[in-house]
Amino acid sequence: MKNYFFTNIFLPLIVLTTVVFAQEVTDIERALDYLKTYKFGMNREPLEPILEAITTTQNNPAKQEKLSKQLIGILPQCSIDGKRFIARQLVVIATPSVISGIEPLLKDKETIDLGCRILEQIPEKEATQALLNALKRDGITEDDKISFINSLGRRKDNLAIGELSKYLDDSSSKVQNSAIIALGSIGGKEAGNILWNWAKNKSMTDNSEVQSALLKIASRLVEDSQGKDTALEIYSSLFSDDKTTSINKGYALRGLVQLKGKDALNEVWQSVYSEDTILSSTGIDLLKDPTFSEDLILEKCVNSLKIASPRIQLGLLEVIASRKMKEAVLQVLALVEKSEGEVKTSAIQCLGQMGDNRAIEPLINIVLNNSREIREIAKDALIKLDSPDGNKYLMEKIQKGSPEVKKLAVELITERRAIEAKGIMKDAIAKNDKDIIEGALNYLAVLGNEEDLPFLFDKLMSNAENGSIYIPAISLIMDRTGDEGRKVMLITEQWQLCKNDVQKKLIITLLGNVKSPEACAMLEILLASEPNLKTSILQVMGQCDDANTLQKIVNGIAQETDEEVKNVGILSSLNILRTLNLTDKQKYDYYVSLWKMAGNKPNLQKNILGGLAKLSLLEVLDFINGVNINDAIKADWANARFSIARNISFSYPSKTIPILEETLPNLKDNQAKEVGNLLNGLKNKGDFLCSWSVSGPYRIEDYSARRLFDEVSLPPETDVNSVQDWRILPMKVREDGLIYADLADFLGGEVECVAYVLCKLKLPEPSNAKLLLGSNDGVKVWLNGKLIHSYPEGRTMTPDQDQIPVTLQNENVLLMAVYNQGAAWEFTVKLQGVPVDKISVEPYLP
Amino acid sequence: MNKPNSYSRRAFVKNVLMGTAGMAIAPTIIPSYVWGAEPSTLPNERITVACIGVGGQGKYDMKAFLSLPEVQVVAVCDVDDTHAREAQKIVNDFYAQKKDIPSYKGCDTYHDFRDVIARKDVDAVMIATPDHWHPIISVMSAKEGKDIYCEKPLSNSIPEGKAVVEAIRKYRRVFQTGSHERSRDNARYACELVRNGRIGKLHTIRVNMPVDNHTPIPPQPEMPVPPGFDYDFWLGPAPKEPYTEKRCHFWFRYILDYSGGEMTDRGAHIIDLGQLGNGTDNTFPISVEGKGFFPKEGLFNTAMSYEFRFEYANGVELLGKSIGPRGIKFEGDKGWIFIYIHGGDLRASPSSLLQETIGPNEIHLGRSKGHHKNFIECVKSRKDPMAPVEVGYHTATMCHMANISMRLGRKLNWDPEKEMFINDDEANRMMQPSMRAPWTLG
Repeated sequence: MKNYFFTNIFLPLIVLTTVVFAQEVTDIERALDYLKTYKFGMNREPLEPILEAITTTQNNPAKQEKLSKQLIGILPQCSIDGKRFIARQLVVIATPSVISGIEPLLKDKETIDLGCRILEQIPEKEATQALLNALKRDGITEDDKISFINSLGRRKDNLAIGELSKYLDDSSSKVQNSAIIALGSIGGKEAGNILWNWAKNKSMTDNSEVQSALLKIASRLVEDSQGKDTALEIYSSLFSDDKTTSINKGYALRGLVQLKGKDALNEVWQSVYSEDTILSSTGIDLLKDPTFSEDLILEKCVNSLKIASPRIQLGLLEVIASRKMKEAVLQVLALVEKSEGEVKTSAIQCLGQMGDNRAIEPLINIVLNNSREIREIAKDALIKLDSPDGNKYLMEKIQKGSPEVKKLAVELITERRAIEAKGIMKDAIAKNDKDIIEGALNYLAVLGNEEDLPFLFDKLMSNAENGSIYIPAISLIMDRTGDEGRKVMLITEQWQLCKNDVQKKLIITLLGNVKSPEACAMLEILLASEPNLKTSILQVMGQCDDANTLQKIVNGIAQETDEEVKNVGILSSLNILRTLNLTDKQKYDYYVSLWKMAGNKPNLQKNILGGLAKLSLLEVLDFINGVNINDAIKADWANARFSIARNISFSYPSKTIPILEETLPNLKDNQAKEVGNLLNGLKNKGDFLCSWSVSGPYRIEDYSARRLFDEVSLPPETDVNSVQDWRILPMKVREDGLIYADLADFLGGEVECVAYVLCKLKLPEPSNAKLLLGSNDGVKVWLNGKLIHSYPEGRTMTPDQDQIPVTLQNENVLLMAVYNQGAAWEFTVKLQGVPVDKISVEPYLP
Repeated sequence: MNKPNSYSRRAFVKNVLMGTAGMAIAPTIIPSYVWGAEPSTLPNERITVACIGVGGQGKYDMKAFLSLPEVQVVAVCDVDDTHAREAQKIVNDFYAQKKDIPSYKGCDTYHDFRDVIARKDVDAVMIATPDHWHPIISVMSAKEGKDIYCEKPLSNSIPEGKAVVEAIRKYRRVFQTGSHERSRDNARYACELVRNGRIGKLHTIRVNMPVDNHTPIPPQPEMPVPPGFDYDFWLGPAPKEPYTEKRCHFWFRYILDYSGGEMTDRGAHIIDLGQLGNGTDNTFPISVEGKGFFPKEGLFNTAMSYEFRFEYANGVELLGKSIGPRGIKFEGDKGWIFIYIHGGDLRASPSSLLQETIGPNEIHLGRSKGHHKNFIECVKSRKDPMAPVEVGYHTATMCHMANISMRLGRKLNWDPEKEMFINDDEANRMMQPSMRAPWTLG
């Protein structure tokens, strides 16, 4: 057994490992060799072994060192681009042992940045020393000095502090600034003291880089609890120095508050009153800080509110609002009275945020007695007024206030979603309180539930003459029940209680609002059984999305003699046709019937032409061409004709090009450009296949487009003749001549879905050819019923993405499924290998 | 099988009514001039904005600011003179028409951003440079007291991002990361549903980030730098490399020296929403594992396809891949919600989830009137905007973590407190930025 293991497993493993290792070495050596002549733009694939080796050195210093040395070893012989490549790898793995090999990079201006970057990443002090040595070199340029100083700053190594401090007085301001920033980055007590003493002694605190570096140092000294005294000295000095920039003063002020706590209040108030807005805003901000108790700041806030400039008043209002300083409510109210503009509106908002009941009455008065803008702000403040007793107070106003106050209180109670006010509201409705009944019903519309319906129905039936005011609340409450059957049942119960047509009309309106199949079915019954109410019923039936309802209306009005009923019926039918999912052919048939019934009534004819314009079939164009027109409908007729011609242009060019050319001079901007491109495409379509019919979009609830692709075979795939909704697919032409179909535009931007496109190709004889296809997103292609190509993933359409060799017969049916995972949804197809003039392409319309 | 549902009119009426009732407009309490502008300016007057980096995205952002009546764009800056001139023309033409002053010339052009941020009359800067420039300009602008709208991703390395956070907080600036998907109502609503447990306990977040540019390009020749383009300034802190056209402008995003590829480009939108929905805006995952395909030749070197997996301390996993519809799916034990990116469409299971309203005592994430508008409102109110600097930092860090994991080909553990990889020196070195002199973060 042991022998078996040794011979069959262990030995081969050793051999394999040796071979792999040898291979690895060879590959890396080859890659290193490649770097000698590597130039930017060359293939990088031969360098892959180095990149792969880098990934295997994780936390393995020996491996890192070996590879680092290999890279450093080849460095002198490499091209400049090779050096750059090596340097990038050394950034990740270099060890101290290769530092001497990095130094040449620091002498070449082409690689100095990479050399510095490598040294920044080596944690050991040798890297700091290498940078210091480079900095001390004789004759280095200003730019080189900055490079080394910056890198030393980023290394944050105290070893560099002494040398860096020498550059604080450098004759070059750029070098000097680099040294300041570097010392600021290193931070700590030593760097801090050096920089601070230098800045004080040389009066350099007006330099914003110095200020910034000192603030950074002070902040870190506080964080590390190393030298709070120095930090305090820095903050105090910078805060009181007129040369400190305002933003740095603000920074210093925060530091002072952090270190001195409430003892920094004087400095904070001093800042609040500063003319510098940034510093002032910092002061205001700090007044919100819990470091300063409300007792400490209240008196001054209140007093300042009376006399300060508007800018400071606004800041103080922010403080009062954010701290909810209720003790200031009277002063804020006074400010509302006395001030104008922004201060007034901010004071009003402040009252809302303070949450004090004493503000309610004055705010109500403001709402009742001010301009619209102020009124809305005060109303908003009342809605948001965060007080536990706020609702109670407003409810009292509903019961005791003047009509105006009552009305406002109802509105506010509704906005505040005060459910506890329901009793009062129902009471007002029951008493038919004319001041607030509308608001109370709106309250129930927002906050009512099914339990409130009997009450509302009772009011509706007993007060039918004015019953329409109850309809919105009833409809919205019913809407929240979510159960369509239950809604119709509730309404049916009321229908049975109706004693007159007035009541019945109200119930019919409610049914129309429900709009479910059940409600539509009930309306159909009523249409047959309530001849006196036909107009009312037909009006609401127009909201039904139901093919049966549509058919019943059309059948009904075909026999109708009353012109008013007929007109309402036609308009309702058109309304349903706009939203109902029917095939273009079905819609066309309806429009033709309705046209005949409409007679010469322009308003009806215009509506019908508007519907026809959205269809995409040849017979629609033929119909429009054949109708009698008059001046009243001439423009609508021309629009419809143009729209259809555009949709079907590539399938019937001889009929549509003249219409497009005739219309083009009347078009503007993008539409003119689009039609111009379309005409160009029609005349130069080359080998693009542009005559397609389309069916779709198809979606399955919870199915992604990818799942549709993988798992579902939809009806067009099994039998194109079984599908009813084929219609002509409009094509678009890009400026560069690309002809494509924009399915998202034509089919309505649906996502996670698929559409099928279909065309018939006729050839004089069987031929081999090639389909060139681009699609967004996935696609499947069937030729004469056989799947010949598929691509499942999401992608952006580019021409000729897929190239599919095909053998074509004399007559061919080409079917494609184009999937949409989201956003753009389009395709483009060319056929190559068959002379264009020998093929005929037409949309297949089974 | 369904054809698309038409939108319920009643649902519309309901949403409108409830929305109006529930979303009273909240004007800001303190006007801008208290905080940022000159004392002499009046309330509700303009916020002056300077636009730094005005190529494709920069012009888009600039136009968004132009459209806000309370903003005046006073300067544009670009190292490509052509971009700067184009942008200047757009601004001057806009105000010439708006103010009816045909000779309007109020927008200045700059080559060096330091000259722009030194202007005392500039309240805020918009930064839409390549990613590797974001941190330096942000930190320097903060030191000059400017508020900042900075395109995403926040930075091209993790420590630089941290430096931006420190600068923004120390100098108390308003900072909006350009992750504008955060300002979509639908996205915020979906995240509210997740945060309030409507899908049950969240266990998985799936991120689809298909790569637009998934074809490596062949090696590129060195080219002469076009006139008017300061290439060395464009490179800035990045390593010196020869010029070729596809290194710069739009294409920079596929080169690691300047950006992180699709991972940072779109991750800053999509992973970002993962953070929002997971309630982890202010922290990080604890590990990342990624596999990516990097081009073996040519100029581009960011991942062209990938899969990655983050683990959070709360047990949630965030799984990402470079295929599928661009968006994010939150999966809980009672349902899921999918947000389509760049459009904000929502899908959910059960679909009734999307009819839910968020109660008054639940978690509300607020709404934005648009990402740029939201920034300007916050410049006035001094509040944090929709995508404050910490949000940008945490999201960008995740994207960088995934990129480093893919480059090293191994799982990496992350210490959210120390903000370092655990026991992996290579990964920690890899996250450090290039900082070619004279540039430094100070």
